Amino acid sequence: MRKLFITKLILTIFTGIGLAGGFYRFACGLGASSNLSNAVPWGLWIGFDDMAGVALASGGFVITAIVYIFHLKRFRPILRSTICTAFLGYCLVPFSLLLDIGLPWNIWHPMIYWQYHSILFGVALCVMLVSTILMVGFAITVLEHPLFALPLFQKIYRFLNKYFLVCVVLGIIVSTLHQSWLGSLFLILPHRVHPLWYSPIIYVLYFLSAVGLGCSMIIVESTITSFLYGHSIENKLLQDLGRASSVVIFLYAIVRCADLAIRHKLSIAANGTWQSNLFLAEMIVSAILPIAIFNIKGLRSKRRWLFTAAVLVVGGFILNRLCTSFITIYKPEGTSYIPSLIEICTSLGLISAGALVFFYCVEHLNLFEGKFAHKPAHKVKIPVFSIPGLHDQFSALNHISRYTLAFILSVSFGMAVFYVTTSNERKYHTVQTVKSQASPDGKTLRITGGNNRLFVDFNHRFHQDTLGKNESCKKCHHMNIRQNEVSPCYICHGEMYKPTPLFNHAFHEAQFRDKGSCKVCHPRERTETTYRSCKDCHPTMFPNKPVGNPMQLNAPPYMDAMHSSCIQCHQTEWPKTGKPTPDYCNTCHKDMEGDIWKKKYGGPIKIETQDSVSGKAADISVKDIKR
Amino acid sequence: MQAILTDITKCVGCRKCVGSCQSINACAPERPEQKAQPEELFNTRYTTIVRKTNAASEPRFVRRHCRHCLNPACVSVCPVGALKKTPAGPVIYDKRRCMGCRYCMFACPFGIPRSEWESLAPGIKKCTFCFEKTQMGGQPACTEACPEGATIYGQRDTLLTEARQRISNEPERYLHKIYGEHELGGTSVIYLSDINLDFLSFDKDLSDVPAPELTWKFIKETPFISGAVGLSVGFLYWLWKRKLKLTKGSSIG
Repeated sequence: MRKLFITKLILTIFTGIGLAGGFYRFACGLGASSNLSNAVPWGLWIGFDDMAGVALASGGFVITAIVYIFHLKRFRPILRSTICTAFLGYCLVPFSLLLDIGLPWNIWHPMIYWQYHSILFGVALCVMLVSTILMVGFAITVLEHPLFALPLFQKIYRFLNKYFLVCVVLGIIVSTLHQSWLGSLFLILPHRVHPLWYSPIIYVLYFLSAVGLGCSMIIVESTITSFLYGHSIENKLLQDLGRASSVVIFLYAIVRCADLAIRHKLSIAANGTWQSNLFLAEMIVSAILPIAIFNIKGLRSKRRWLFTAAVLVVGGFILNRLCTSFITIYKPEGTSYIPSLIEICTSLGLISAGALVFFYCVEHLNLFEGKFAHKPAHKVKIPVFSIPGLHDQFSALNHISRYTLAFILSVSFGMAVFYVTTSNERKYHTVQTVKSQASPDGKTLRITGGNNRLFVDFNHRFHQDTLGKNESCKKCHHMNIRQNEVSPCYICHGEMYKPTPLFNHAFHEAQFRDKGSCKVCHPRERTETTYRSCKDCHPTMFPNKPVGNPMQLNAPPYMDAMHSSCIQCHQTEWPKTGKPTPDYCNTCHKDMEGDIWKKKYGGPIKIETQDSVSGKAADISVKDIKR
Repeated sequence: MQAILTDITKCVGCRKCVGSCQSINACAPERPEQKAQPEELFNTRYTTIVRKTNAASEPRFVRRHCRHCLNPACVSVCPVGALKKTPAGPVIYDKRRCMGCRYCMFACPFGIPRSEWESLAPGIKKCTFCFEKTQMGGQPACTEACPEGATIYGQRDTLLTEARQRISNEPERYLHKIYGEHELGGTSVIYLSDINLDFLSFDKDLSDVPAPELTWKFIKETPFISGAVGLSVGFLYWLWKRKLKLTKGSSIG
């Protein structure tokens, strides 16, 4: 039973890592944990977990149709296990949807806001209906457990058994709709889906492939269970399923190629681009090879070949679903999508969790109609560790404790890995944090005001005073992004990042009206990029010497930059423009009159300008004003 | 039906529409990496100016924003009705209904809706035609801000007449096509241009059939499909049962 132990251990580890990934998805947000973007809104979670997952779960309705509608009673031994896997597969769909959708607490909204014109609404409805019907099928197996020996449960059991045929018919109808609707999600996207995968009858293709895939999936899961639990399933049964699968897949391939040919798109498949090669590879893997293997008797009768062909079908159709939903879709130039580590790990984790629950059902429920009931293995050979002591410790644990240990370790491992690898730029309002530090003169704090690792000198005391002393802390620090000590400057000084510069266009227009208006500044053409530099007309607007220390690669402090630009310009330009001269600080900073200035500077500060000091240019520097 | 007519030949690319749109919608300040892509739409920028060159290698500026289609793909695919086409024209969005499935982003032929990737509760963001403002009798912030009259607001019929008038007045100035008149059943935002505006949509050759028609053709068959499947399943059940009865379960069972 060592192989069973190792399989379950690996699945436990994957589940643990997936759980850690799920935690990060909800803690950091969709943008940070996935590589989805505006160009690729649907990724691995939709393509693999939902599209492929639902297709793989189609074995449930295929086998019930075989047993109940076509009365092929010899398929009964694999009926219950297939219904069980289909049910578990459908249970995983809502979980992956919770990961994928942005507002998961609104996932129930399709139930109340009916939108009959939306395919996705139909799909959501189908997921609910099919899982309910599969749950009825699964409940029959569960209720046979000795735990449910009470008369009430037995009554329910008999009732469900009696009317199960109704469920079968309903289930087949809704599953048919569901599989074909999943395909028709792409009907409205002829502009996004690659022409080789898009088809106006994509719902037919999706339905046919789901039936073929369902048969092959039954082969895969039966082979794996019989391998792990050492019981035998009649080989003839699986061979017949394989042949049925090959017939349906043949039909699918014919319809798909005929559809492409009718719409004159078949030539795209041979033009040598990577999409066409992918298309050919997909057709070979999902159709040609399996059909060949399933129909050669010498190969089909060997369990190994049968399994290989079924795995090829499963892999080929998973590839098909992924291609349609994100691999080959049209993306604007310069954008690409590779699933992030968290997306891959959570998808694997969900499947592993499903497989673990399935193994639990195999061990504790009568999934194989009494012919087989597995006894849980208590004597499991454990791997030998070379470290003395650790081996004793480990072997002292019973098998449940070992799984628990592996689970906890893998969750912590996942947490650690995802903490390192989560992309920082798109994390929910978090950026790489930089500790603020004192500037060389010790008067100001050197902070990264734009959260871009470019430092500015920030006068903390000044901000504290002007914003209301002790009351002021919350004004900035409550707007902080998490784990960061400073708020970005642009939260208050919004004009820093305004797309239009601080330039009064209307004023300049009026000034130059007589001189040809536009042509003064836009000598060639009137566009946003072809203007003369402000410096041409206002040579004094820019400080002559750099305000910050260029050797330190620092941006000039915001206030210094503003003051040296504004004050110098106002000094020289005020007689022409009629704008006030900045005699006092509160000429511009009107809101800062009152106590604060008196307390700090002993009254309003007079700025000496050219005009006030009788024609003699005063040496104004920012340092003076600060003091 | 409210509409916007944008005349590409008049736009000088001042981006005033972008600024006024951001201030009226109280957009969050653009992040540095968003500032670096001035032609791209973001969840903090619902309209943008794309720079192109015309045949005479003069620069042309194309304003890109939601087209407010007459029969919008985004509204038809929304499973919860969070997006709505109002009778007045604007396509508006209600985040309280939205569940964040992003199907609208996938389905939009013009690639307009943007998800709030940096948020923990990401809905979508897009131009809403300044719905509240136009309901009060005003005009959208962008058309109000335009200094050149390149983008104007009005009733769709009036603007279409105006566009045809302009083409007939100066036939050498424009391509003889009103972008948005017929594509995908028509859009509320229409363009007059002297350059090819096909780059605004994913599909270079848009058909005149509204996108929702593609799925509606299939959806309206649903009752028949389910009925047919149900009936055929019942028929097959009966057929096989009868066959079994006749052969007394000799070979099939």
